[in-house]
Amino acid sequence: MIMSIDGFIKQIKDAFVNSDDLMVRSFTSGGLDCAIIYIDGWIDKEILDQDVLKPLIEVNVKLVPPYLDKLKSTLFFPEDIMVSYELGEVCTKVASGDIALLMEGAESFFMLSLRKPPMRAVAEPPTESVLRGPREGFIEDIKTNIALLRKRLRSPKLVVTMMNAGRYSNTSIAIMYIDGIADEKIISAVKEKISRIDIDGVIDSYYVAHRLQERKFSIFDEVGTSEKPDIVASKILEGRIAVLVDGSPVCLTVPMLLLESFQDSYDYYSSSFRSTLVRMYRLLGALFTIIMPGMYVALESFHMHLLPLKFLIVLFNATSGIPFPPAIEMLIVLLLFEILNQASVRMPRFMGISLSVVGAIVLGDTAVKAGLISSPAVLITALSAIGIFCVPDQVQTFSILRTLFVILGAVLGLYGIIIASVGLVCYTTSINSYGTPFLAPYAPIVAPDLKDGFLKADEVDMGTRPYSFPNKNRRRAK
Amino acid sequence: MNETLNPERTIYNRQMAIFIFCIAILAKLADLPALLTRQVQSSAFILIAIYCVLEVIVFVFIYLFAVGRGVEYLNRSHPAVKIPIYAILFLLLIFKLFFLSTYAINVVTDLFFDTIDPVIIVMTMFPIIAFMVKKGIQPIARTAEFFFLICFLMIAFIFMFLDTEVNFNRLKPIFTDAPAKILDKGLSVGLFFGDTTSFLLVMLRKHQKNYVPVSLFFSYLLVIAITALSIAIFGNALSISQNIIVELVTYNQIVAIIGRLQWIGLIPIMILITVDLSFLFWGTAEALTGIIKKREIATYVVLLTLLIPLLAISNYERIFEFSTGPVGYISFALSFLLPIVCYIMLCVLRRKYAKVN
Repeated sequence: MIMSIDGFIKQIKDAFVNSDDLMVRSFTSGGLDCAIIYIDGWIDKEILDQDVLKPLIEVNVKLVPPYLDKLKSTLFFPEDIMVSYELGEVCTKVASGDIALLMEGAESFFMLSLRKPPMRAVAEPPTESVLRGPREGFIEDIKTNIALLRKRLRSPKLVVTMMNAGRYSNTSIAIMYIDGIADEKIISAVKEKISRIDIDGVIDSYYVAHRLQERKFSIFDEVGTSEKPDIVASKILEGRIAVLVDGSPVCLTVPMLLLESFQDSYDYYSSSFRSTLVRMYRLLGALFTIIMPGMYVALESFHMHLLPLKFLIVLFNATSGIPFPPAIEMLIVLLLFEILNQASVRMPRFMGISLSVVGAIVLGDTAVKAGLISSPAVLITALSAIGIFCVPDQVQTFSILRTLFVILGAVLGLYGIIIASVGLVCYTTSINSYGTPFLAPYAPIVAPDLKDGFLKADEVDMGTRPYSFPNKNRRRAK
Repeated sequence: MNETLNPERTIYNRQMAIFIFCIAILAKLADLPALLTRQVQSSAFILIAIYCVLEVIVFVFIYLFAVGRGVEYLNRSHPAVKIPIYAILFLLLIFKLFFLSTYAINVVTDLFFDTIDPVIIVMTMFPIIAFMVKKGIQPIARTAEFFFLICFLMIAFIFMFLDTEVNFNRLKPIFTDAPAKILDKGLSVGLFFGDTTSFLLVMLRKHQKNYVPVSLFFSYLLVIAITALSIAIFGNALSISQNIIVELVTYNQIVAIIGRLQWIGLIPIMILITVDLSFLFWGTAEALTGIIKKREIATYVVLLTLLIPLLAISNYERIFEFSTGPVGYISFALSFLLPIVCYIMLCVLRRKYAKVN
């Protein structure tokens, strides 16, 4: 293949369907016609002008093949020059933000990487703010995210494997783990699952998360997520595998245990007594969320005789005169809450306070005063609504389960609640995430890992990596 | 012999220990004390104690068979040996499963939810049990592990706030009948015996400490203690109770504060029923798999064999009458003899394979 500049420019323009942001700049270097092709807005134009175009234009000796040696001696970053022979590959790289350098008579294309994609600064993630500990969060740029992890794990054993997925998005995906700690079978399984992704575009890491899940229709999120590099770094140190997706600030980790949803980075930056207490609160919050509305409906509908007399009198006074049966009343309050929640997430922030006032005071208080809903139902829903955010990773799951428990409580009473609880545990025990029982270290009981369960031991006593999932080196401290 | 353990039927000794607790508490404290009190009055206590001792003796053979991977040897044995053993095991377990299922439905509908149709109980409980059986022994064992502490604490809670008068004089056996007749009555409730027969089909993975002997001892000791306590509290009136735990829990010292604790009794019972039925169901399906080779088909066959009569039955009392007839005696004999026969067979097959190798 001998390069004819005009012909190739035309072919590349055709491949990009004459897209307006495809820039072509022609110039002469050492007596040869040259051109660079790139996508506007993706590259660092200052470096392009200073370090690429200027030195090339200033070449005053006649260039002869092979051109690569001359380019390497002329440009400031010789190691970043890549050679490409396929037009299709050139187009893909240009679309990904690389610069194609075409030289008259050359046998190949030269690719330069001067990407400078638009990105925001590293900041504290809004969903994982902390009282104590690092405040850096991942951003949408994969290279920055890799660097944030490398900053914490400065070891040559930290392996980064790059892959691409998405027919049109051609999204970069980084698999990160520590060689010698992470289990090879899990690494292979993750790589295989990512290589099998064949969709139009990978817009966010959740596209990958759904495909990393072992069970297609699981009600639980079986892949860990975090926006904080300190959390992901500690998970990698435990032997987990992290998956970063370009364009997403959410890092995925596998294998995942349900217990992880109850843990927070703050637990590791405070005393073990405090952490234990906080984890217990989270567990109670989760139980309140899932069971309490259903339990209330079941007790009020079928089993009032089980309640203590004083409590019964208070409840009877508060609920008498309500026009709806307990189940409908609870479902209405839950529905109202979900609507308010969705509205508050999507509406502009400056209107959030007004919505809180409208939702909590106007709607709630007025509805109770009007006798449409009872105050215990509002109280239970409020407790459940607050409790759900004790475990933010499983909000969607708990919301579904809460509704299911209300329905079963309304139809079958306490029997429904108990059978649903038993069924839920049976279902959860059957989940395996990359060879790891989802309910470990409680089912099965993995005694050494109980020290970082709901009861948390001191950091000094955690000398071993988790036994709950496979990893190659158990000891992490002498 | 293949040195790797078949993961589909392998459990840890810790999981076996927890299973023993769950099975012992449910099977022995379910309807058995009431049934025996009805037949032999206060001699029920002695009979249950004898039952527990026999259960421990039989379990020793079952344990040796499981540790020795007896089921692997059984699968490799001649069809003339393995098919009859699997067939007997299947028949024994399906009878026990059917009987326990009817008990479970009866206890839920009679004691707690008399407004719920038994069909609904069957339709809600059995899909969960079938799901677990389909997933294998590990999820069942993990569920048992998960609930073990909850059940244990709830049972402890029940006894902590017990509010009743205890008269241990009621434990004295009154031999209204000859000892032979008392033993005869005891043997008739054979479906309550052989709680651990399903363990013949598991393979045991030894892992860290062996809790099995401790669990075996304390579980049956707890059964004897609770039975003794119940007879001391209720005397012959125990004959009208359907579940000791529920009877003990209904009235308590803190009734004015947190209300009647029936539901606290219901939670462990429901959990134990689910775990016990799942384990028994798994054992039955495995026994049938030993004959027809296809596990999935075996699971569905057992499910249908169970569901059709359960949905058709209108009077569960008849099942109890039926269970104390010839089926009870046969069940007792099989539950007692089968583990011993299996262990002898294991010893013979081991010698045979040792010679071949």
